[in-house]
Amino acid sequence: MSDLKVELKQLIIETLDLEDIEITDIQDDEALFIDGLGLDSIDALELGLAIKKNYNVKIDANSEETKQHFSSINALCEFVSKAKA
Amino acid sequence: MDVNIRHLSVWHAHCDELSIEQAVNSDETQVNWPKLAFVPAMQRRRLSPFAKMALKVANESIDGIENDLPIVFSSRHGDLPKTSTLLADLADKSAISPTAFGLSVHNAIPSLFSILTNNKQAINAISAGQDSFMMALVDTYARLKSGLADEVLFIHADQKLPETYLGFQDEQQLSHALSMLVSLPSSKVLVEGEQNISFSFEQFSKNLIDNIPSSLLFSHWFNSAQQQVLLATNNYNWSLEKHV
Repeated sequence: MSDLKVELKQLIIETLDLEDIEITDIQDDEALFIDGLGLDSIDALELGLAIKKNYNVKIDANSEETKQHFSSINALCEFVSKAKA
Repeated sequence: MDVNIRHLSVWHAHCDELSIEQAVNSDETQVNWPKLAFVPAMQRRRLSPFAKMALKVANESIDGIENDLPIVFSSRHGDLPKTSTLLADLADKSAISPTAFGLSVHNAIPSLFSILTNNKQAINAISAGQDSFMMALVDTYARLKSGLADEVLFIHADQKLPETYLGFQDEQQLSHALSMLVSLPSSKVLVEGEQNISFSFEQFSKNLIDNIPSSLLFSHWFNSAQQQVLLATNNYNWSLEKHV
């Protein structure tokens, strides 16, 4: 597992108060929202804010692309590393 | 004003070891906040101590109640620990947490409770300084008198002031929540634990700074053998009496 993926999982767990969930419980290709991890729309806002703060990246609130970026750990990792580069 | 009250449930910080008198102004850095087993884990994770104590007592009050009741929620300061953190973030010009913002509005607690219990009845959320608790009881009485409801779920919660605001305190501090079911007296016999009380108030200005909050004095009185009580705030004197 890449360092960034571990970092993102840790960020998700801490930011969203997922007390009972470990890093190993989150699959790289699993859906983060609704199915899979079961996060909701408030989590999306909270996570977007945390990503902005931590990685200093710009997130477009209403685009289809943003939805795609937040669909899984794999997608989020790709988005953050591209945006940082 | 004349009401019947049943299913009174009270929680306060350190209630396992200390009485209300002993617990006021005590250190609250190590409090066992209610665990709230009835709330699904994914929803429970967002609940603050303020929400947890209020939802705990509310859930106890509706135990055995089949129909959805309208809610009157009372709190002098609301979730002030949460609000003051948001205000500090704003002052620092940092982005504020959407979760904290959403759950810091005054009616957040009864609304959460209505979602958790799938209750579609109306909700009022009241704040009226030192008179919050008693004014919410007046509001409850008005709701019942309007004929729109036979019984109301009354919830009150206040948390100890955060450090930043302690310099402004004009009451003794104790994190607490209280809930009860209120209805109009009728010809029906009181059920076990139910009491018929009447209350009235008159304006009387004073400058008290170390009263115990009315909500706590009320619950103490309700559970005692004492017939009458006078609850004094800086604006009013509230007279309450139990009827047998």
